[in-house]
Formats: sequence, C-alpha cells, structure tokens
Amino acid sequence: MEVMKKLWDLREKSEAVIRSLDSSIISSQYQRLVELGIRDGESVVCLKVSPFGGPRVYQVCGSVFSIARDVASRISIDEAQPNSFSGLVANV
Amino acid sequence: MSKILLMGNPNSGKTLLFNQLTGLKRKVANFPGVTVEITSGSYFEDPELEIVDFPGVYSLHPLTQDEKIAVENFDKFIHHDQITAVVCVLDATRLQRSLYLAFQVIEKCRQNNKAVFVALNMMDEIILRKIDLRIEKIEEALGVKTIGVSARRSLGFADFKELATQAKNNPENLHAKLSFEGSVASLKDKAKKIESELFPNISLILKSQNRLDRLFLSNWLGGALFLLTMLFLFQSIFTWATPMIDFIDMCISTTGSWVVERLPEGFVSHFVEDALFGGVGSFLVFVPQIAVLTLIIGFLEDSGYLVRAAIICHKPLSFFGLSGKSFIPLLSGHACAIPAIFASRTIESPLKRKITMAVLPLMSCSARLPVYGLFVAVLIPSGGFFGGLVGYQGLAFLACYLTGIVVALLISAMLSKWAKNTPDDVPFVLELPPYRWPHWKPLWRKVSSDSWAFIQKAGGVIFAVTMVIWFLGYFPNGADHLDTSFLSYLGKAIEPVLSPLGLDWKFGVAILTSFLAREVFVGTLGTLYGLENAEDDIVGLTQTLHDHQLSLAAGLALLMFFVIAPQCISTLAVLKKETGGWKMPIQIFVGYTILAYALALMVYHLVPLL
Repeated sequence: MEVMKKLWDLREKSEAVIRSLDSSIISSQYQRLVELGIRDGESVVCLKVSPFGGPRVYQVCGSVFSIARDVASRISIDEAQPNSFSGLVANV
Repeated sequence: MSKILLMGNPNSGKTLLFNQLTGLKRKVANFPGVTVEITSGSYFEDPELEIVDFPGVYSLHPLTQDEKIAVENFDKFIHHDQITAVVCVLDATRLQRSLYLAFQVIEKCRQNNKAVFVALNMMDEIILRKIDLRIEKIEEALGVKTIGVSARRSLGFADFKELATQAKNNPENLHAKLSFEGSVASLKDKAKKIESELFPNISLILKSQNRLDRLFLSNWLGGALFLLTMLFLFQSIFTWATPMIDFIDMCISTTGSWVVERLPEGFVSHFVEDALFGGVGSFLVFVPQIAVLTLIIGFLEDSGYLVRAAIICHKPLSFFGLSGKSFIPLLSGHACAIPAIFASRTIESPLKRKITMAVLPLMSCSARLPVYGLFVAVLIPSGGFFGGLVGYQGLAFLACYLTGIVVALLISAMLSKWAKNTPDDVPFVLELPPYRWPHWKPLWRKVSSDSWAFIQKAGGVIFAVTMVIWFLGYFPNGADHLDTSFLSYLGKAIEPVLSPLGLDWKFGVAILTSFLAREVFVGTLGTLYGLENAEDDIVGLTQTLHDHQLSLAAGLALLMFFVIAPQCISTLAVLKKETGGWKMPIQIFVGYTILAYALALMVYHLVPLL
C-alpha cells in the first residue's frame, strides 16, 4: 500500500494539494487550521525548509504560514506532477 | 453616547485606523475581570460618537485566551443599545482570510439587527500595485455597505464619516441583507470564490513579502540579522535611555534642592529631600528604559519582524519545552515581567503559556539593572580585552543576563518534562504578516500608555516603600543614627540567614525592602551607608562598599541572589490574576527564593576556590 506523503515531506519550492488533516489534531486546532485555509483541496507551496528541523514556511490560500513539524507531519498531501498545478511556484 | 465597534483580524491595520479616527484623548479600560485591554476614543468628526477598538481575532471561534475574551465580549456588546454599528476592518491585500471573519461578524449583526459596514483597509497598497479591485462587487457579494480606506494615508475617511453618520441617524439602512450561515468549509469556499473572481492576482502581493523572507529567514544571514537586532535592542536600552535618565535626575535634584533651600533645616527638610524627592526619583528613572524597550519591541512587532524572530527561535526554544511564541514574552521580560506576562496570552498552548509565565520572573528586568550596575562597578575592574573594546564590566552584565536565561531554560525544560503528554497542548502554526513600515501614531500611543501604566501601577508601590523605609530609618533617633533605627533592628533580625553569604545586616535591610520593589535596593543601601541620592551617586556608593571591604565572594553571591530571586510583589500579583489563584505565585516565590539562596551560597563557597 502506498503511504501518503505528508506536508513535512514537501521539498522547498515545490507544490502540492492538501488531501486530509489527521484526526489526531485536537479539534480546536483542527478548526483553526481549516479557518486559516489549511484544508483538503487547497494548493500549498513550500517556501522554506529551515535547518535543524525548525518550523517550515508554506504558502496556502493567499497567506504565508510557518508550521512546525508536529502539525506539518499530520497533514497529508498529493505532490504535484510537473505542469499539473496552479503555477503558484512560479509566482513565489 | 453612541458607539461604533471596530472588529478585524490581527494585522488588518485596525489599530492604526482607530488612532487616525480618534483624537488624542482616549480611554483604556479592561474587560470586566480580565486584563485584555479595550480602547475607546471620540470620533474626531463627531465628538458625540465613540469608537471602540476591539482586540484582533481570526474568527469568532476563539482559540487563544485573548480571542476568547474578545469574542465573549463581542457577543455581549452586540446586544447593547449604545452600539449603533459594527465596522469590519478587512485587509484588502489578504482578502480571503479577512472575508471569513467578515462573514461571521455580518451574520452576527444580521441576527441581532445591528447596523454593520465593511472598511477595506490597505487600499494604498492596492492602488500602488495598480490592482483593479472593484469595491462595489465586494459590496454586492457581502450585502453590506463597503468602503475602501487607507489608515496609513488617511484615504476614504469622508466615506467613513458618511456611514458613521448614517449608523447614528438611520441604522436600518446599514442592516445586513445577506445571510452567512453555514459550516466553516462552506464559508471558506465562499471567501475563496469571491477572492478568485475579484482579486485573481493575490499572489503578486505576496511576492515582495516572500523576497524579504528569503533574506530574514535565510539560514545564516537570517540568524546573523536576528542576533544583530537583539544586540541593537540591548544596546539601545542603555545608550538611548541614559541621556533621558540623566535629564530626569537633573530635573528632580534641581527642583528638590530649590525647595529644600526654602525650608528650615530639620525633619521637614530631610523628609522632603530624601523621602519625597528621592522617592519620586527612584521610580521615574525607569520610565526611559521602559519607553525605549516598548518603542523597539513595538517597532519590530508592527514591521512584521517579531513573528520571523519567533520562527527563528522556535526550534531552540522547543528543546526546553517552550514555543517560538514564548520568545516575545521572554524578550519583553527583560524590560518588565508585567507586560511580558500579558504578552504570553498569545501562546495558544495552555501548558507552554503556563511554563513561559513561570520562568518570566527569571528574566533580568530593568529593575535589576541598578543593582547589577552597582555590584558590577564594585566587584569588576574597568578595562577589558582588545584595548577596552570588550569591557570586563560589560561582560559581567552579560553574564548576569545569561545566568537568568540559562536558569529559566533549565527550569522550563524540567517543568515540561514533568507535564509531558498534557492532552491540551497546541501545536505551532503562525501566520507571517506582510512587512510594513510602522506608523508612528500607534507606536507613540503604545510607548506613552505603557510608560504611564508603569508610573501608575509600580510608581505608587515604589514611592510608598521608599517612604516607609525612610521613616523606619529616621526614627526613633533622627537622621545620622541609622544604626540604631527601627530599620536596623529588622536587618539584624535576619542577619543569621545572611551571614552564611558573608553579608551583614545592612544588606539584610536592603534585601528586605527590595522585596517590594527591587530598584529600592540601591537607594536603601545608600541610605544605610549615609549617602544621599545613592541612585545618582553610584561612584560614591561603590567607594563606600570598597571601604567596607565587601568581599568578591559575598558580592557575587548577592548578585546571584538578585538574578534569581522573585522580588517583585507586582509580578506576583499579576501572576495571580492571570492564573486565577495564588498557587502559582506562591510556588514561584518560595521555589525561586530557595533556589536563589542556594545558588548564592554555592557561589560564596566556590569563588574563593578559583
């Protein structure tokens, strides 16, 4: 069975689509993530991979967020095939 | 009086808009029972209308403590008849996110038959980038009156006036026409659709932000810039504040001696000179430092850099069970623990918030500065490495600050180990606001209100303590007989506790008085050694302490005690208010006092071995 990729696995300057948020994220935080636009179906670009496993920077929904590993590793993604996404990467 | 409520996201420019719409006079009040501030002021176009600035929230489903209080109070305020209208302040450059809150606020107003309109802020940035944003289309989509404004450039204020007048005279014209009931997902979809139809080039706005982030968050340069910023912060607390402190000192001593010259010699003149003017002086000298620190932290916050600093610090702080969001309170704690405790409300995780508050009293606040200054001058020779470029005394100062930080980190690591796997821990997600050049108005207001709050809250205590000490030291035998005063009895009573540290009763008295306000320590010591205005005359006090042969070991032990001991009644009182009970303040007081004593004892016995 193929293991779904996580947001944390997304390389710098690459794009993906969020597939699902893990149910282990506590409900109030889950709701806030959805409110911020971090939810299934949204395109996401990784802008910055910090050294030593520090929080990474992602662009989602016209906003930029810094997300730590404990959250980013609980968000499943579909990584973009070349030429198949919104071209967000070209704009960052 | 009619009132208009401003609601908006954090960083939507709501506070700047508020500052521009209100005159110089304003009221800062707390929500009942809590310390979250709510600011109001009369509208400059209509003094009969009051504008109320609510704390920024992301949504009406609150997450942080601050948001909970703001949202609960919004629910209450909306039922008041005095509230004629609610204004949703949206950041036009962050349309999708802003619209989500707007939907919720509009729906709430619709259900309560309250007038509501939307102010699309930051329109100057939209115009500058030649983006064609159709406001009438947004108005159509939201079903409420919508105007474009720029708080920074004072644009669109005539439209605001028109709607504010309508809200007062014909509020029914501003009632919401559309309903925005629905799930979070459906509202987000709606916001996304509106943005993509009206504002397809949103990512262009982010381009310049991302360019700057590549610099400020870059692996090496970003770290170096961060360290430089912190260095600048510390340097400016000392260098910028010093001329102001000197000026305040000069004013007080000139006025003091002018008054004293006109008084007969005796009790009254002693009282006026030492207790009255000395008392006022002892707390006013802290105002410049607090003002400078508030100014710089405010500048970093409004420019958007402080959030980047939190990201840089997150990983190192997480080793010690803290979050990047703890960084801002910990940094502010170096000015004063009280605003820092308030700042820790932005930490969503209740556990990390508690730990941050628990270690905040260990940050070397500005009240410790005079004590450090005195002992560093007494114990550490001047001169330094590289021809004096890196001074020994400067290094000693740094060591004091670092000791506090290291102990704080170790304690937070310990606390988080004990509390491991608390189920309500909240993970780290931070939005990066755009970089913006801060506007002077909100900055100035913040600096003046924080300084004034210090004078009001701490000033009274410090002044009262100085008075009490003076009386205890003056009686029963008058001036020049301090060694037989009431104060000396107190000091001698605790001497057995201090003699293992090589300290005599005079230090005991000074430590006792400093438990009400640390900064009183230097003044008390000066009084005990018969020096007038010891705060101004550090050199004189230094010489006196040398003459009394304060040993290096005892001096360093005392310094260590001051780095750790939680000697501040105000901090403990604020902690009680924030945690809802005396448990944590008492634990902190007892724990840190014992730790401070133990470490001081260790220093006293280790130094002679070196």
